[in-house]
Amino acid sequence: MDRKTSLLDTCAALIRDPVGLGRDDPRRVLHDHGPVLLLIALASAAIFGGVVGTYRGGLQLLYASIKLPLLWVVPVLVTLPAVRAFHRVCGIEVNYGQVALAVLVGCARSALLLAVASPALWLLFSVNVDYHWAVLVLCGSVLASGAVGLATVARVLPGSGAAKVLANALAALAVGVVVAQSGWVLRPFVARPRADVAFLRPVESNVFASTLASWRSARGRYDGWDARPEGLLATPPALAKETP
Amino acid sequence: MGGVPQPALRGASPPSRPTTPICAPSVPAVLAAIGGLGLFGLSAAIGAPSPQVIAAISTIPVAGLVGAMVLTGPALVAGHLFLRPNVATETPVAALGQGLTAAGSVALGIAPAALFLVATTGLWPLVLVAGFAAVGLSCAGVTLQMLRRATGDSPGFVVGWAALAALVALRVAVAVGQTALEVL
Amino acid sequence: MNDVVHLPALWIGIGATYLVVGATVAWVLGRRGVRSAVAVSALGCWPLLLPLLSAGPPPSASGPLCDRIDRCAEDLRSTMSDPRAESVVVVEDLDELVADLHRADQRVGMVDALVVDVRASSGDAPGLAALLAARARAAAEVEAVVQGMVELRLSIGLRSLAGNTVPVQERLGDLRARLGALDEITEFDLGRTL
Repeated sequence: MDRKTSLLDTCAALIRDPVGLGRDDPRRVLHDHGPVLLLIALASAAIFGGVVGTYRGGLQLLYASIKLPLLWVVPVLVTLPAVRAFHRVCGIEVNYGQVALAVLVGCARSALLLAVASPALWLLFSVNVDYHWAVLVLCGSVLASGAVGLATVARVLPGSGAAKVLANALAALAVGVVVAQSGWVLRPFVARPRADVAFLRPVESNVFASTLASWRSARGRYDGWDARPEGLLATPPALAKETP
Repeated sequence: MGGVPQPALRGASPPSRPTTPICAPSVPAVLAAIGGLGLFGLSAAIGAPSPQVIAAISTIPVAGLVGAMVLTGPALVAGHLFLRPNVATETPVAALGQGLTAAGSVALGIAPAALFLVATTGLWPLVLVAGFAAVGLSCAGVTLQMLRRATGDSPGFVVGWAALAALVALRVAVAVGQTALEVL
Repeated sequence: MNDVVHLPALWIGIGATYLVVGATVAWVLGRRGVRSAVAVSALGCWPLLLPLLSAGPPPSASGPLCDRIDRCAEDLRSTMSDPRAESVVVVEDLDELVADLHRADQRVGMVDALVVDVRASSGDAPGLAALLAARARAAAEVEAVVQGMVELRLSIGLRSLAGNTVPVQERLGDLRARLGALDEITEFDLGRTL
């Protein structure tokens, strides 16, 4: 690993040989490449967010550019200890440094691929695609990119056989749940063209209840959906009444 | 060394699988595991509606898991002493300790994710139940794996013990939950 | 009772705790001499950089003499590029010498990190003394070659005064050969130790 690491070198290493980054001492790579990897992840997600914001335009461009990097980094920070715990309980000896590096590499690689593919998304959004289709395409892009990120994490971390499959499946489940809920909390990313622009919507219900309601609606059962404030982040009903 | 393989003796038992001795975890590791269970319980229970309920609910993982180990551990040790004379006496205790430390590390690992989900959703009971199940399965899985390594095979009674321990853990957890509901 | 739990103060407390931990990690890393970019990154993303807090200085791909090598190479390059120096040294030769020097220096740095790790885990393990002696010899050789680069710079000055009688090119070759011999010495040491 060269002492002087440029942004371009790290991007090339991320795309060509992410496993090579994990071969060296994790502490050394985190020290030499950590800030650059973080910068790549945040900047790439911000570029993608900007492209997503073009669907509504205006202030949503800025809001989406701020929120997409959060969607990429918050789940990583929250689930990092879980990823390590799942690997260790499956009998794969990994230290915290290896997991942190693998997760950072996976995060940066997936965000970089999203940023590279974002012109295609811009092209689609620029032809006034239907709002629901726009949301679906965004979800699909995030899913595909997340799968690439998780596959990268699996490749960088050691282990083999059924234990590795189980550990990575558990890690994917934990990361997937947290990413889905983070996306729900940080919505809207794709705002309707005539809707008011808001940085965040009130914390209410959860992504699982919303998905269930959408599933019911798709099957023709319109039971209605009561999106009540939930969780510690939600504004208490008493305060909500006072707020105009 | 490299000689002609000897034919197996008639009536001799098949060669057993190689065994690996188990080291009992250190006291700080066990305490850290219990701390991890407590932290996970607190992370999940913090969404409960009152401080008293939070206090009661947050003890469910520790009470359920440690309670089940204390109540069913002697059965595991006695079963091994009775059925496996060649296995060291401390082996089942060491395996239980390893299972507890694994459960503690999983609990500690999922605590931040549990806190995040509880903070942004009203699903704290689901988070608690799912996390407790993950922790319990980790504990049982590692204990069984350790015993299998130490004894060379997996006797049926160990699987039966795991089922008994799971039922006891559930009963203890339900008892603690009922106490919390009475407080509420 | 419900409102007691749902007060936003709880969430603010969690957020503030996260930031305070981040600031503490950044401060500790800063005191250990890590790059400022790493310390700044730790402010917001400290869970990812926690491994850098483990015992010992952060391992770097560079060796202990890295800065000195770079400084000497820079000085030598500027002397060579001076139009009055009439230097015949090919720049590629110098680049190769500097790359060799960095490689040898990185090996010394790797041994330093290894010694710290071994001492932390198992004290003065047998064989450590031999490794330390080999490390001292390698470091001395690297230092001697760096010193040779300083002398080479003086030779270029002398050459500009005395004409083409000072064999600058040959001296550069000697320095590379000396570094090459370092590998053989280390190999010999290794063979003797094992």
